[in-house]
Amino acid sequence: MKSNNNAVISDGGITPKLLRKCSKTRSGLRGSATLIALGMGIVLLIVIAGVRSYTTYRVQNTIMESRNLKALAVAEAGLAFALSELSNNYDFQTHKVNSDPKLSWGAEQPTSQTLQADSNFSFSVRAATKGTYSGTLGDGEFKVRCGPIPYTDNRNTKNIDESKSFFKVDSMGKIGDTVRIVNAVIQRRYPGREFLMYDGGFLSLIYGTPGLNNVNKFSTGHLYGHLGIEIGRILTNKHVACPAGTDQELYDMDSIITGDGGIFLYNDIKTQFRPKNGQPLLDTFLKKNSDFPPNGTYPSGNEKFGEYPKELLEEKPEIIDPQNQLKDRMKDKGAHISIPPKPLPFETYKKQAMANGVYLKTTDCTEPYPVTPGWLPSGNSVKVRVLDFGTQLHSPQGITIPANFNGVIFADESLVIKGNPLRDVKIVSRKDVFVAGDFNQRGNPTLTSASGQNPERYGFPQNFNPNAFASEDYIDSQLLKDDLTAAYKRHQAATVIAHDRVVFDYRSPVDCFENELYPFMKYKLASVLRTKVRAKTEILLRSGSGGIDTDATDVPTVKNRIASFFEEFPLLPDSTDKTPETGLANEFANHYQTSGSNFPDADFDPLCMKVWKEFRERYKDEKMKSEDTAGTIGKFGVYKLLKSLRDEMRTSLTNLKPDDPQDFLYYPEMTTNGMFISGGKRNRTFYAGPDYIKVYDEIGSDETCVGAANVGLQHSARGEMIHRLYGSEIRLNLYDINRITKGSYNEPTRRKLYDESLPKMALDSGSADFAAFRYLTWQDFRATTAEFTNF
Amino acid sequence: MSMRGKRCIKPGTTLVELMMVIILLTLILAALYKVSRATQQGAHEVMSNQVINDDVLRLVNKLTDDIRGSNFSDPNLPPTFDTEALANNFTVLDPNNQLMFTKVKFDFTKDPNSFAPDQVNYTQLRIVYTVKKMNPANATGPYALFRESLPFNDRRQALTADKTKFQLMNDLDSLVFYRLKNPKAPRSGNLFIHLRMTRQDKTGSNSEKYTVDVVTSVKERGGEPE
Repeated sequence: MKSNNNAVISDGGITPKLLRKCSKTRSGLRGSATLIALGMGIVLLIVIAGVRSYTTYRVQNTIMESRNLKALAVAEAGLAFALSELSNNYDFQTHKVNSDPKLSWGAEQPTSQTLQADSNFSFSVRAATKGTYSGTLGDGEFKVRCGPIPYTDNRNTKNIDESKSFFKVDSMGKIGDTVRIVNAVIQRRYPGREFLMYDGGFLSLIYGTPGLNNVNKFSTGHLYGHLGIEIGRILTNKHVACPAGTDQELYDMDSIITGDGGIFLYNDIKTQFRPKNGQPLLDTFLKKNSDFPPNGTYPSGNEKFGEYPKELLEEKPEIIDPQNQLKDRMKDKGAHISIPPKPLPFETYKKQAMANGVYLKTTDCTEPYPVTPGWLPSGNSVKVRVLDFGTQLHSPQGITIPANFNGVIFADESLVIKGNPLRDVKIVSRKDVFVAGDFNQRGNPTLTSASGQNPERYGFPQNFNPNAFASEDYIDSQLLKDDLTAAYKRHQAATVIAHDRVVFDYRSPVDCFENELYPFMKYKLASVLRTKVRAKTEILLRSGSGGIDTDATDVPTVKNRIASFFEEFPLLPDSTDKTPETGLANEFANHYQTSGSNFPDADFDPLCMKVWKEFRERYKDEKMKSEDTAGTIGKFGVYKLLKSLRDEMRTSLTNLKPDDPQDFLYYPEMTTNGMFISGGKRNRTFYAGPDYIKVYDEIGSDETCVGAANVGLQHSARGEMIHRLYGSEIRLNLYDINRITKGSYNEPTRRKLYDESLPKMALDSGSADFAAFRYLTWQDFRATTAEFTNF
Repeated sequence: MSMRGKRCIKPGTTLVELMMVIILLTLILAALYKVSRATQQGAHEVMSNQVINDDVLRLVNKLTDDIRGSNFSDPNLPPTFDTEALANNFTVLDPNNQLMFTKVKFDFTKDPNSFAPDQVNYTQLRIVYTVKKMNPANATGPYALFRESLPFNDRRQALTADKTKFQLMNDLDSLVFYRLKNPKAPRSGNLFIHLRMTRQDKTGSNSEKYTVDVVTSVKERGGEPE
């Protein structure tokens, strides 16, 4: 029938008349056709409905699930964008957070956007001056609210300012009609302020020399190694067993943390933890938990240059803790306290320097600074700018501070820094920073004493009980640790940032030991004018007058006695021209002639300062004069003063006499105080593990410094001088830098101590501190489009 | 033209024609019925499978949401295997086939300087997922999944009286939790969940059974309090 109908319709010659004629026949067949059609239709409908119902459900489910996942991804991306904004801008926020239990959102706050749109990822941020931060990513939209959680600083946690640490961040992601919201609490960490030592790679607390029994001490706060931490005494030399050497001890520790690795202890480590979370102060020995693999696997083939063996990078050794005392104090990768290193905002620093700071172009950094062989691919000096901030004993040099100085100094080349800045500073170099002497540790020149001399007249009072080797810290630690109270402030908030390396430079005794050498030199001058006993009473003891009454009976005697001082401590060791020394002797003689035998402090100190100034100025030309070819016995008076001072204070190399806090005899230490942040990857001779051959970024006082290097003579045997670093040492391990192929220093005995003022010092708007973030809590929920719209 | 005229004046249908139509219709309807029935059965089958898909999806979502919102997990529960092959040998009834993690809730309204020495600014909820045989008399499954939660107060003391435990899902063919050794992964690596579930009308032959076999992994987002 159907084909007939089709035939009729397709004929082309059909007429109304013909249709009428056919109507009877067609109506006679309509019933069965309808039935068939209905039947087929019903069956088809059932089939279609079934299939459609199923496929729609499946498709909808799949689409929903896909949208849910995408919306969650967009919400998480929004969270990450907010963290990036926070990294770029300390002040970033969108809303206030109320201090109710739910931490509800308060008023909108002025906000900003620093992230740039990127069409490759369909990423854009909507411009807004206040309130919710929003934008698009791919085919999704995000909206983020972020604000600091009002909280009180916990006075018991010395390293963290909790009032500035926590943020509430809510981020919504929307795909089509599907909305997800992530609620998170973020903790902001300032590694430079909160960690005694931070390493973006593997933190190695292994310093020292085989066969020595000296101890390096690390005190206060947190240690962090992103890929792991190793601690131990010297046990190997180029991964071959050697006599055990220098040991390491930890004091006043809060936490030892690795973000993404394990904590390796190669021997029992004497450790003290401060009270924490209801657990009392803990004096213990951290038990050895690892042996360094002598035949480890080094995939990059850089066993000699700082590569850590696969066996360490892949392991997480168990912390031996039978009494469950260390769980809160030693946290490996399982704890998820991961603070990865991030690039530093050098352009921001530069802009700050160009605004109201000091910007030093390449042409401003032209002084050749000698370095040891292997430091550079060729040549033996780098172009630098020397910034000497001055001390109580010499004037600043090389820096002009502008009006309205914002504290930022930025150089396109390497910098050399020393002395005591007079205000908070951020010193940044696109290359290296050489810290070439005492830095940022002043005394109070105007302090008065009830009896006798100002105890800080020459610098910070470095008194210990019993002495500098046996003690990890000063007697008067409040002077060190409280820089927020004006009466105790001795340090500025100094941030030293090098793109490549922060190098501690031990070459110059006049810069490293000035505050120790000067009072001793003054005592020696007084000794020749009178007697040692009288000089000690008047000059070295605080109760003394600071001046000397000579027993010389005439001018030539005074002159000869001062000349005898220069014979012992020569200004020009190899020169027959004694004019400078004679000139100085004449000044003392002239004082005798005009004022008599009494050299009161007011007169004697300026005369001594003139002598010291001559020593400082002649150091550069006289520093290489040596009595032997190895450069181990310097002829220059400063080297001899240094040796004489040490002999005065000790009975053997590392056995010091008890320190007398009432005198001005200070054991020679190079003291540096600040946050020292370097970005370069480790690229020196450096054997992982408890190995002697670990060349850190240091220079000076070594046989490699002599000869063509012209760096300076060896003035201290291994372990003999102390390098005291207060503050924090941060190695980001981010940037590839040139390889230094040879050693360059005699290692000092090390003291690394945290400055508890750091969390609160100069943390203000635009400080651009290196910050890292971690999620404390994280929850995600579904939300409606209306909630998204109103967010 | 004449042919059209003949067809139009045909008086009616013969009995044979009518019977033919009826037979054809019967055949067609029977065929359609069979197709329809088969389709309905197929649809029912698929919908039943979808139910089990949904069950698995809901369970996986619940587990992943729970883990994602946690702060830290026990490094040994579940255990870590060097390779996936070793993980595949890990059995449901192994006593270490557990998932233990902790959620932390911070309270920023209290002044930390007023805290007792052992007090902290957070409370915790320790969650443990375990898998048990539904019928202890059986040698193997089916298995049931239990979720146990144990709160800790702000002195980090367990509040055992508030401990809860309930059955989250039953009729599981298999559910194992594990980690794979991955030194490059942060923390202890991802948590893996291997879940297998078969439709309940198990009377049919094996070829007709529908089994969902899912392996997924997830990672906790939060961090451990210091």
